[in-house]
Amino acid sequence: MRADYLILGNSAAGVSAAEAIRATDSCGSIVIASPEPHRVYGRPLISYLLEGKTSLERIGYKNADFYERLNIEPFLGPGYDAMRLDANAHRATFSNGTEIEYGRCLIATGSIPFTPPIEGLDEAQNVTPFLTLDNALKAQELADRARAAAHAEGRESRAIVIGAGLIGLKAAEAISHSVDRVMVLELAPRILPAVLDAEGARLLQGMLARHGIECRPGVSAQKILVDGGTAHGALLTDGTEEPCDFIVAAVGVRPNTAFAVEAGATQGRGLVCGPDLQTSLPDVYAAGDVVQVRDALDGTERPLALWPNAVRQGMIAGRHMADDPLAPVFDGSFAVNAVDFFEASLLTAGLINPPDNAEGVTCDVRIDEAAGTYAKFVVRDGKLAGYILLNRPDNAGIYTWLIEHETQLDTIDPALFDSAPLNCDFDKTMRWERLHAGYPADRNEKGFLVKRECPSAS
Amino acid sequence: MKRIYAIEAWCLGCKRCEIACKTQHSATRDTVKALTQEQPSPTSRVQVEGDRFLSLAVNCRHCAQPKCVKGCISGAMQKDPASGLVTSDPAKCVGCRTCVSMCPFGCVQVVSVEGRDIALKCDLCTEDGCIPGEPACVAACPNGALVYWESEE
Repeated sequence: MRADYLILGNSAAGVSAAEAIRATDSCGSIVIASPEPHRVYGRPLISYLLEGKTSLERIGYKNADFYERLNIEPFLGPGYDAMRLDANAHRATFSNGTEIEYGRCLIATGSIPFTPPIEGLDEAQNVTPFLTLDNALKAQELADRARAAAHAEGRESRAIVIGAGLIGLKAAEAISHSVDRVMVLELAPRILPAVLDAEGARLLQGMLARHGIECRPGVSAQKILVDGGTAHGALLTDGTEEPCDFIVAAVGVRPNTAFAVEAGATQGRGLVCGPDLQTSLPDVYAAGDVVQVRDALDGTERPLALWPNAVRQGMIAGRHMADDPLAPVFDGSFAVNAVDFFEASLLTAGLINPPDNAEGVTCDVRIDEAAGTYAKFVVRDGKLAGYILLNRPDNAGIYTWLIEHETQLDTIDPALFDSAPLNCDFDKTMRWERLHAGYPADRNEKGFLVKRECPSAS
Repeated sequence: MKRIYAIEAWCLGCKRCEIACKTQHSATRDTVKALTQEQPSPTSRVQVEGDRFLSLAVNCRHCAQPKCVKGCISGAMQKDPASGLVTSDPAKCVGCRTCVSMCPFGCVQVVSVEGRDIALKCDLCTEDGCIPGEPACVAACPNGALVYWESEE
């Protein structure tokens, strides 16, 4: 068969691209293909699902009529894993043998789990990653079974989570409601190594401990103890053994791009794309976790596996694919993370762990142990470059705006950092400009009419 | 679309807009009952910032390219393509605060409602889904410090 637009991947980047394409091209045929048998859902919501904060009915990211309304043909199910791409022939081949010829193709296949070489990890049936809805449902099933079996034996049920990144810790939180003891292993010397600093990690680790989640930074598993296809414990890197009823493997992710690389696409740490998000292959675009992004703050090139980034890239790639003359370019981005654990909220953005003694960089840290809050602001060359806000979320987007706009902080009331930032911390001109987009041109700042329309000559 | 604009030159900081917003978004729609008896206590979606010398009432801008919508992981935060209204669906929201980290104006709050953390924001006093109404905060302002005008964006 043939499609004008073939979108590989049915999550944030893929559906955002489809929407953008349809906004420009009302009649071109669009196919979305994905091996997951579900309509598009909020992928980061899988832990919330297990906690009962959403449901299978409400987890849908788009309205029920999304595919129909936009005239998109969804090919969803285990047979629709992209296996081969022939960029010259403009043809993709799927795991069930289906071939689709396309006009333009979008690679939005996201991340897949990175499985570390831990002996026994891939031999046990009671080990699951925690990336997809089906992974989450399996984790819940394993947790329910573990609890029933353990309680029948009169002991506590136990789970091990390998990896204390965002995925591992959200998985730990989710299963902690069903399992008596959860241990989280992390090779790095602190939890959330990519999005927190040492002090913030220490505070969060203490909070998680009060909810029965024991984090073991600096310790990982060297061998999974498997018996008859079932993991019943792990030998840790500190030489001790830890028993468990099941394991969540959340060590890390990598871009799901093997078929594209095989087809000749240039890959660094992700697919290398131009400002229009076209890969090195003609008429093959990419968006979301698979793309190598230039970090606007530290200049590094790596995938930015975050939902808002995937939505933004999908929108931009879709417009270029449909030849929208006003399509914006993608010129890098920076990480903004929002996550909550039990009653704690954690927001981080940009540069949070600058190298020691980096020139022109200062860190402004505010800790209130009694209130359980921790705030860190990284200032570089007089501009905000990053923040960590633990339990101090209010109005954080104002800080994000300062980072994005590279605003010189000397024009702003320093009180901005003492507590929730406010619009009135900006000077008069900036305050007005920020809050008055689209303000009628014939009104002044007091709301008075400044010019009258000329009566028509007739 | 029509947008609410703050005219800070006229703002007295009286917070009548906040009271009107709470009443509008209460169960009883009765100011006294809404402010003294209702549980959960209604939340104002307009915030008066500042002090005696400078004050202004800040409301969701219903941005043309809303960052809260792009960031939302649940699909709860949406912009209606016809009216331009940006709303958050409390049934879908999980309270992750991505919108809070994205909104450049501090116009989304996450509050606990009936045991669930959800995002609350200005809905332009819409009554049924996506048709903006007549904002109660603007009607309540005694000094022309909040206006509701057709915007040029």
